[in-house]
Amino acid sequence: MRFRDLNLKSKQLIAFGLVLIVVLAAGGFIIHRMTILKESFDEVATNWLPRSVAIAELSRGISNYRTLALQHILTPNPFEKKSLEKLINLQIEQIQDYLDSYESLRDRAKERGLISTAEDSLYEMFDSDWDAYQSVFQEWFLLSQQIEIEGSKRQIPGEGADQLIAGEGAILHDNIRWILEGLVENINSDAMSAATKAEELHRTTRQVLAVLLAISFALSGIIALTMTRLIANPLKKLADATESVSQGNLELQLDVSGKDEIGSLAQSFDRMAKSLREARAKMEQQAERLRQQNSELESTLKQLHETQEELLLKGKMASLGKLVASVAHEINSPIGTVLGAADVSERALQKLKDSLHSKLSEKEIQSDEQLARSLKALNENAALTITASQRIAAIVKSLKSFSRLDEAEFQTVNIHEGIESALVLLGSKKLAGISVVRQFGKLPALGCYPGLLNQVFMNILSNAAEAISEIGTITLKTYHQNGELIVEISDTGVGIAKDRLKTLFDFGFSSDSSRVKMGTGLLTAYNIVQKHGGRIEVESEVGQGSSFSVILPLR
Amino acid sequence: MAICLLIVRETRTAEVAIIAHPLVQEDSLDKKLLYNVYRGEVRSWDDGTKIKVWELGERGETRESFYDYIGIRPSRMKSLWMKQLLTGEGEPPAEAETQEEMIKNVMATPGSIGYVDKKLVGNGVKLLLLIDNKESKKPDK
Repeated sequence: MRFRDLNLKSKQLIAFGLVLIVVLAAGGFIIHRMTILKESFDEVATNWLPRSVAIAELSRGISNYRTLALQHILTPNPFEKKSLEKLINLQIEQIQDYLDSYESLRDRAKERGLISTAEDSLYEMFDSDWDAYQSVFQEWFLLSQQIEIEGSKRQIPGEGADQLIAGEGAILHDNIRWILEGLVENINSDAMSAATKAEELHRTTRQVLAVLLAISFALSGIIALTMTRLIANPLKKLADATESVSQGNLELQLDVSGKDEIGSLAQSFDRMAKSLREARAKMEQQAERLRQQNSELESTLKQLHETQEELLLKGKMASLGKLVASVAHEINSPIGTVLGAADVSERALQKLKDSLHSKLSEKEIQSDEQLARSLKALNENAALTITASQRIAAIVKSLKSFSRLDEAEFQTVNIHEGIESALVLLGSKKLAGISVVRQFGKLPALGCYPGLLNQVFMNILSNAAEAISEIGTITLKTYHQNGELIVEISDTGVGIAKDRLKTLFDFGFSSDSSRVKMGTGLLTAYNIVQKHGGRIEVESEVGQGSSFSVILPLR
Repeated sequence: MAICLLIVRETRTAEVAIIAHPLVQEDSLDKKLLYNVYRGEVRSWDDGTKIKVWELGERGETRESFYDYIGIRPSRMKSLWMKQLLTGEGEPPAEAETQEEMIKNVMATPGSIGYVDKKLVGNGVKLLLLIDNKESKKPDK
């Protein structure tokens, strides 16, 4: 398992563990060294030096011993001799103490292996001489006190006690002094070298410590950098990536390998981004579908609106048609009566005129002004009544034929009839100033919905009449060719602008007059013509006039 | 002295016999008694006879083994004797120059006690104690 793949806790533990180990090692090393140094210094203070001092004092004690003995020799006073003997005794005790002191210190040092062979040898040498030295003193004392120990043989026959001290004693004493000096020197030099070693140890300890500190600093630094790289950088990458995603950028891929927590987090992130991308794609697809549906719905809605309008109008038309039909029907009988009456009046008038003429001459009739005027008035009015009644009758007839809108029956008719009835319905007022030119060709009967077609003609004629401001001409041309029946309605009106031509057949009412328009605009006309399988073509020139052609197939 | 030093350093394998005058009542004695006798603390035998202590003058393995056993350096013993001498409490042992002389003296003087190499012990003396110093002293560092 590579280091990269360990989890974060393990990584951190290992990293800090390393640092800890180094620090502990350094600490342990220092403590160990310090202990050794302390021991060394302690040694010097509590053993080397006291030992050296003990020997120095021993040497002095032994010299004192000798001095006292010499004093004992020199003094003739027995009391002084006695007191000196006491002092010598004390001195011997002191020497014992120094020896004890030295030996115990030495034994302690020996346990630590700090006694050199030289020191040991020197001490043994001293001891041997000290032994001999004391033999001499013993001998001297025995001699000086004239004590004889039974069986003892004197080594030095005939010589005085003093000679012992002065002679052999002196030699031994010098030896002892020399040995002890050597011993002191030895101890001191050993102590010195021990101290020097301790100092050296101290110096190297400082050096090693400095190196260890440097290592642990470096190691800590490296570890800190490594941890940054292994933890902080990936985290930053992750944070940036997350921020990027929140801004809407889903195309990121982190590609962080490694099996620790950071690695798995990054991988989860990638998976999440992928899911988001897919979700977004799906959403966009759905949005697109919704848009399509929406536009379909909109067009359907539009169609429905149109259909609704159509139906509404058809309804209106139907009821209107019914109204018209019933009104026409109602009017018909009184009109018949009026026409009849007018006709009778005319004939009666004629009879009156005839009878007058038989009785009176023309001149006489003319000279009676009242009579002449009355006759003229009667004549004119009768004619007027007839004309007006005929007109009414014609209008009613047209209305009736027009009200066949609601019937919408398929019939075979002559479309000229429809055109004529449309003209009639338009009325003289509308057609005032307009001359209507008929160029009717020979047309076969057309199978169609005459009610509807009449609406078309009505509409177009109405527009043509409107387009002409004061004086103009509406030309009606009908012919057939290539299996098609063509009705051309041209006017010399204001014309239609090119851009308006495009929206000509669009939905819209024009309500610029008080008169209700029959027909629902060119849109309905277009629809009706389309229903017949035909088309309407328009040509127009602004200022010149327009020409509407209704083209219908002949079945 | 240097030679003595070398001898001191060598292995002590001497077998030392503590001998006494034939008429000495004691049949044996322990280390402590031996030490006190030589120190001068104990001056007479159980029966009242004055103890005559003999010291070996000859420096050698026997002497060293003896002092090794009783646990005191010869020089120290000498100091103790000197103190007794100075205070008048007692007198030091007499000295026999050689081991042969030691045997002669111990045989001759009643109440005597001394020490010799075991090999030299004969019928004329009473053997009180045998010191077996098989331990070898290693040279010091």
